[in-house]
Amino acid sequence: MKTPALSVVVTGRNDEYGGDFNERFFTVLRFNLQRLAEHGVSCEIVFVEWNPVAAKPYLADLLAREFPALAEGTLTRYVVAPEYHAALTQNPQLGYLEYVAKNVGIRRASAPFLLVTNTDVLFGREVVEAIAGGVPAGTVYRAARYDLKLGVDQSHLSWDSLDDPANHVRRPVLKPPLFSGGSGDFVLADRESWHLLRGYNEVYRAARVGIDLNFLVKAHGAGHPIADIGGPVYHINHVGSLRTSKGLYRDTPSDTPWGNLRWHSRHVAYQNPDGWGLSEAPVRQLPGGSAFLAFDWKAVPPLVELRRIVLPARQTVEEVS
Amino acid sequence: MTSLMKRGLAAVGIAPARHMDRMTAQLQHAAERLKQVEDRLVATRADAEGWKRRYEEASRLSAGRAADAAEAEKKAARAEAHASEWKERAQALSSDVRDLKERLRDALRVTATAREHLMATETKLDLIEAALQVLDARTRDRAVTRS
Repeated sequence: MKTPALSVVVTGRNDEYGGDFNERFFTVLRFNLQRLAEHGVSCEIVFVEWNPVAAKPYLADLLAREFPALAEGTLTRYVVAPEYHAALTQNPQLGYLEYVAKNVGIRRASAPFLLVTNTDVLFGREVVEAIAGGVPAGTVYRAARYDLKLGVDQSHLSWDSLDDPANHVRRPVLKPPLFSGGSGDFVLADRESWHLLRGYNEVYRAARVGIDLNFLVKAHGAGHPIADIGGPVYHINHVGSLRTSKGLYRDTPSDTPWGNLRWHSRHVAYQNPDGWGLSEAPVRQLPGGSAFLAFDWKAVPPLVELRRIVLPARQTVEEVS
Repeated sequence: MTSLMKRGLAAVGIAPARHMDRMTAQLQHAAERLKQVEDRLVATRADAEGWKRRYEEASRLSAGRAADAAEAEKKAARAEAHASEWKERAQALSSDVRDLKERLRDALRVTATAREHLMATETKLDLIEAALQVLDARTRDRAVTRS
């Protein structure tokens, strides 16, 4: 089969996160696939199901059922044994190691360009056009995340409705050098860059928040230019998200379900081990067609490796002049 | 009247009226002329006095201005000497300021580096604390399972 031009890496599980998680995911995926196809972008969807909910069908299987044509072509599904979450967690309050899950997908994606995003993020017009037009390798691309208002009608999504400011709750402007802000929702880079940087921080697993920003710090520190791709993506807002709920933890920033909101994600970098992305996990095929990453301690890094927390080679603050 | 008669009258001190009139007129004229000359003399004297005063005044002023000029020259020389002194002090201060700025930059650099290391250390402490909590939880779970 011909190698697709783009791998889209997303992660999730069948846990009704934020309400109707599955429906939201399928709606968004349908929209994004249609837009990419309209612009002639061949793509692979890499879905990673992390810490699946016991006694519930795998979302990976539900996904294949919802998109049968995709399942036979360019949908790659991984289900990660729940024991990995238990072995890797550094914070029992974190029920989901989103960025380790994303690394599983990044490590295995096959296209020359990888777009790592989330299941509730719609690609904007300029984003698809930039991808279709081709972007130079070696740069990490970011897109501003516009939050759509809660409860927006998702049945007739179009770029015209997405572009309408009346539907936006937030319209941030990304600033250099990091172009941070909701970066977990959109990071596009060539496969080689992802592998050079070894994906997201797997050393600090005590928080889920800030890991996306920390990747940008790492990329910037390693000399990778970071650029705004030229248009926004649109996030379907939902209850329980960091942005809608973090106010509840204003007085207890270290006790949130996303970990410590104030860890120094902007000021440290990391060196992931060789086995990042659970590369040494043994794989077997599930009946539904998903690849199952079975548990093996060989694939699990040490609980703590302090030497892998390092200073960025280039700080993001202005040098003293 | 003949001249013999005029001489005879003149011997007894009598002059003919016409002669008298003429002499009187001449005398008057002379007196007037004299008055005029006297007046002119007075005026000239007054003028001269005036010019003398003006000359004296001008001389005084000139002398004063010469003294002022000399004084101003002395002051200028003193000011120039002061200016040189201040210029040297300013240069010395500028050099001090440059040194201080350099030291401040160094101090800021050292502080920034120390801060970076502190944050890295705090992050590592986070991890140690997290690991201890995880291990503690695992130990308790095992203990509960065993009991």
